[in-house]
Amino acid sequence: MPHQLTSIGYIKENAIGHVIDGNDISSNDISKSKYYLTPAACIHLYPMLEKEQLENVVITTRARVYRYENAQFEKGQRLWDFTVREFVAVGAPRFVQAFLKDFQYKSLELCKKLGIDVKLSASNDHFYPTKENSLMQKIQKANNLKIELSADSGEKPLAIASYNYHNYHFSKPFHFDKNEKVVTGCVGFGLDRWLNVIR
Amino acid sequence: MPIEEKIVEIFACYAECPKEEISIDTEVESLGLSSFSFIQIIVTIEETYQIEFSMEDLQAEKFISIQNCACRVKELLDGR
Repeated sequence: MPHQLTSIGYIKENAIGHVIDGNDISSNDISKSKYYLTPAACIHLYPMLEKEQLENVVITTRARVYRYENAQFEKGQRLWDFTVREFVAVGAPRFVQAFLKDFQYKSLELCKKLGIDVKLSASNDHFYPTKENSLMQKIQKANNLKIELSADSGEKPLAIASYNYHNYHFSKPFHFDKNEKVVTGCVGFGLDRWLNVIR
Repeated sequence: MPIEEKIVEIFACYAECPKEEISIDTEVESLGLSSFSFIQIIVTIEETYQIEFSMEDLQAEKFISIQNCACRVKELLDGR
């Protein structure tokens, strides 16, 4: 998602006086750092698992996540800065698939208790538009690699959780696939959106 | 070059196993492809034959062996 990344900048030392004087901050006053704000909660886990011998475990993390979405922001729905609770399953394909199904079932049950009208449907990630990426989106949808839980929130459905099967996408490059025995999958809950749909 | 031979050659370019072990009957899963390599294979096939796989064509069960892929390419070419 490079087109959604948010980079970090700071006021240059020689511009501080100019800014303190109440002038608008121009791009010339800012120095770009080499750091970026994280665009996803789970992506930091995979390098941490490098060469680990894990199998059939679930790891959880909660993070502030930042995605720039062409300034199409809407309070409680599409934010630049939001909080995600993620669960990552690491293990045999059957374990990870069962984990994703189980979380879908539990999410539906939770929504029923909370009175939220929801449905599950196949979806895809919004990659930068290239030929390769549009193929990746087609493959995701064709194979149900990404399922979204959408809530009826007025005008259009709002995705409040997603269930993603990664196969060897992370386990292979980070060498914890145990010779193609271990895959990963994750479930992410957009907490701001949940708050928005709970009445 | 016959379609089967060309498709095997394209898969072999991205496979992690020795090229001489790859034939038209080889199972795609046994090639140790990353998702990026698989995408590159599909793009190369589409560009080579000026075809476009549908979403249905890209279901995992339609890509069990290289033969399955070659058959679908032939069907798409015949249907033009």
